[in-house]
Amino acid sequence: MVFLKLALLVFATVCALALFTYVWVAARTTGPWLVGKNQGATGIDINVVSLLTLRSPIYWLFALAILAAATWLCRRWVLAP
Amino acid sequence: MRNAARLLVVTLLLSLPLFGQYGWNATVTLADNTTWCATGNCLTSIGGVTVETKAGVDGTIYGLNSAGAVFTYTHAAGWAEAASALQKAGGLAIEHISVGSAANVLAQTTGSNNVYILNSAKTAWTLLAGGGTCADAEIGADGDIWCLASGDIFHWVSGAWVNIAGSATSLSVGDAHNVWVANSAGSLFTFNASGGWSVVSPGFAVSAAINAIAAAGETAIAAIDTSGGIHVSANAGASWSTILGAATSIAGGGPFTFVRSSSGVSYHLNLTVPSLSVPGYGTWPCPPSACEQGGNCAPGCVGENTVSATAKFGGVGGAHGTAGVTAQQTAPPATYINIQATEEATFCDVFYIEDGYSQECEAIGNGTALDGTGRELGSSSFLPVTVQIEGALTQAFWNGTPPSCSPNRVCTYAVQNNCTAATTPPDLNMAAVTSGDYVGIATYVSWMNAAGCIRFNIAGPWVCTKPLSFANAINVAMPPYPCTYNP
Repeated sequence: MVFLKLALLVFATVCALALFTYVWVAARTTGPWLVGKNQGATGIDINVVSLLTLRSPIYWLFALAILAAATWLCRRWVLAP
Repeated sequence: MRNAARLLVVTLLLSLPLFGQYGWNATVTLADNTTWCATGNCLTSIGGVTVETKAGVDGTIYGLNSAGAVFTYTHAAGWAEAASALQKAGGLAIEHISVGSAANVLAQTTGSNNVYILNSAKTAWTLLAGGGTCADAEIGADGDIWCLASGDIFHWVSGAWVNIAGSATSLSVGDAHNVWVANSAGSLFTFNASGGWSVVSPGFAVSAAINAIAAAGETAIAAIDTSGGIHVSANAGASWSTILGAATSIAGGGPFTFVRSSSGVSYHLNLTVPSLSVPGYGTWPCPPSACEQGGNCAPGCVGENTVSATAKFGGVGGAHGTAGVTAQQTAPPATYINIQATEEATFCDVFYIEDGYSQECEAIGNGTALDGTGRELGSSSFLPVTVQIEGALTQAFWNGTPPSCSPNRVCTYAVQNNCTAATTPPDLNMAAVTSGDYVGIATYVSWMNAAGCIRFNIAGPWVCTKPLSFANAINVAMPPYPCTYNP
């Protein structure tokens, strides 16, 4: 049961980090978030994801907050007796 | 606890008939409407009065009015005058337009050396390299260009015009593999793999007017006869369907076919409509003690069961009116029933009526099951709104146009979709990619772009999230990719 809880928490944390990274990068690039056929979308090259994230202290702050929340959940929920 | 579980199992077994084993589904697809169009009105006015209306395989529409002004047509904006930079080409008035797709548009002016191509940014006309003077120049969805000059036929190959044997009065280019001409005798020809013309016998004489034929994509061809009759073929002229109505010119192809009346009004030819299928299926399980005679259940579900399924559309309805189509089968409970009701939304123009949101586009499916006493065993109904979700892939390339870069060397590159003609326009339409600094390193970068898309009506507009892009080639031109395409 503990293993299942841990796996679920890891999966949720990875998803949260990925989603946050996508939102962060999308917010820092031009172009609409939702785009219809008539508008034309602006893509985000995955090669620039690191440029827009790893060099930003604020990104690290939020990412570490997600990891801290995951750690707290691990202690309070996964490892709870 | 164990007794409670036993009680639950027994209760479930005894109440099986109440839960029912008959089921229904509803599926909306796009269907060919040419059979209906032979006797029913399939022409939807898109308004405007033009002297020429041209359309591409992707629904891109341009028009010229009697003053020589260039217009474009979209669902949202209707007819709108094009930017002032597109009103003249090389300083000369435009007298003819050809549209292969959004990325391949051609303008023909007065005077000599009169063939111009719309640039990739769609901001100006660029003189065709190599020049040339045409009486009728046409461009395909893949950029293939052909020309009529004094009746002679020319093909633009590698920057030069190549004379092709034969003479013609009208010309149309779907793509490099789907080129058609008609001559003054009203005969129709298609360019064959041997570099010659193969005559096609459609059973009517083709009008001698310019824009009397319209090819699109790989196999679509449509033609106007000498009486103004409208004929379409989806299989490269192997078989033809006659459409109710009359026109003086035709453009586009497939779902995006347009005709122009003698008064200059343009109409969308509604050759593709939504089709609703509602299958009903299943058997009806009886408690063992009740299934004693001829497979029928008794008591409580005496006699044979009747399962019905209805498919219809809102407003004035579809091909079978407001009642739609009902399929029904009566059989003993143990017999597997499998029925299907299918109706076509013949009055729904998903492409050019309010973006497809008219009442006639609303699919309504119902299913019911009754036993021999008229007791309802089950029923189902389906909401008219169809939600579709897909992951979309589109390949796009940057051709060296200087990008705009921020100080941290993040650049935005204007890109063009690079999809096969059959998958153009893609559901995910790319305009730009934010990437690293390739200036001085590359003159061509190709990306594969992925996004999640959703729409709320069959053939309605897809709305996609901001895509993620993966570079798949640098300085090596990629061939067109079969992009995600669900019109």
